[in-house]
Amino acid sequence: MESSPIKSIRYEAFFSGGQKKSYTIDIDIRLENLHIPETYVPENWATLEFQQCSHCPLDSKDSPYCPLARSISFHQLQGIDLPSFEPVDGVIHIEDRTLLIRTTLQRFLKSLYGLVFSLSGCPHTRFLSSMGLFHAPFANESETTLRIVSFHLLHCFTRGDIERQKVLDEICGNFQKLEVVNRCFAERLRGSSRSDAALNAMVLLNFIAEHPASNIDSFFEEIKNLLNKSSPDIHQERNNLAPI
Amino acid sequence: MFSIMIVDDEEYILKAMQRLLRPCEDMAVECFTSPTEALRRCRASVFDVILSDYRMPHMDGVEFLTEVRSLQPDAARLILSAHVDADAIMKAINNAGITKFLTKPWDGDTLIQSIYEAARTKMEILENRILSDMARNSL
Repeated sequence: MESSPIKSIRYEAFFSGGQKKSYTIDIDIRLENLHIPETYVPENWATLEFQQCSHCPLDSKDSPYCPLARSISFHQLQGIDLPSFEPVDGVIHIEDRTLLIRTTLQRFLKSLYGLVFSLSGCPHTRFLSSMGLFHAPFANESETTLRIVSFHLLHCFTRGDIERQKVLDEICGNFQKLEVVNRCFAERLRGSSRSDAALNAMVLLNFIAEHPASNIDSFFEEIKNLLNKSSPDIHQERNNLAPI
Repeated sequence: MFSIMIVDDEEYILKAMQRLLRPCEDMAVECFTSPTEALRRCRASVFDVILSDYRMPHMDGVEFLTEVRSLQPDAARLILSAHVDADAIMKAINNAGITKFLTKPWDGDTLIQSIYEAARTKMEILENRILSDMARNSL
């Protein structure tokens, strides 16, 4: 039997006042896109021309709505009117796993925004779609950097061209474009949301997009140091094995 | 060397700010996630520029900078916030005497320029005060 092409990830937020918010993100695995009904008409702030990114290649004749804004609007992620530091007990259901986390509203939203952005169909976030398919909620800074580099290296590997500087240039180029998207999208959000939580979630997402090169360089250095540290043990093991 | 204090309840924001300001070799930056801790530090050390988030738990940026104003009236005070409304801006100007209200997400160049401007303005005010004191004493 063929497995369903739709994968669902459910985010639940439990607030200290007893409120609960729940978000189900349906992903079309075959299209590497969010599954949103074609008939869905988003709110006005999601029209393509409202605060359109300066480098957006889309045309309102073919795409009347910004794919990012349409996705955020569909999941109603912009409308939580609570401060960004509000404590949240987050419960995330992914396939056969349930994750629990005590965090703040802005970090909870950052993880959700990251997922939705990567699979929204925006031309400038499409390079993140495979990361979205293998979503790792609440990954920290070094885990995210590791994932970014790993996924990109896999792309390069499948294309048959791996060259460090080229890889760095490509990643940095992608993230420079993404940074513009983040900044422009924040302006769009400012027009639709009274809460600072969604905007702060954007600032947190932008944290890695702003300086990927320095993250990746230090990541390569860390990996190099780890390898250097581990090599004497490898030699030792080889020496130990030699008599056998 | 300018001494800069940055206060934000979110650690990642502070990390991003530190990273942004690292190339500015004439800035010594100290970061705090708690306004209470930052106030304690203000009682022990003088800062040229103090940049604070607006919405924070327990004490907001205006309350924090109003306290700072009584401890270090000469320090230039700035707010960096995602939350922007007229009421917040008015309180920040009238109560905390801020010189600039900056918005998140920030533009790196604008932010650095604003910090330098605030620090230089503070230095000019101090120099003018010293000169006028000297002139007054010489009369």
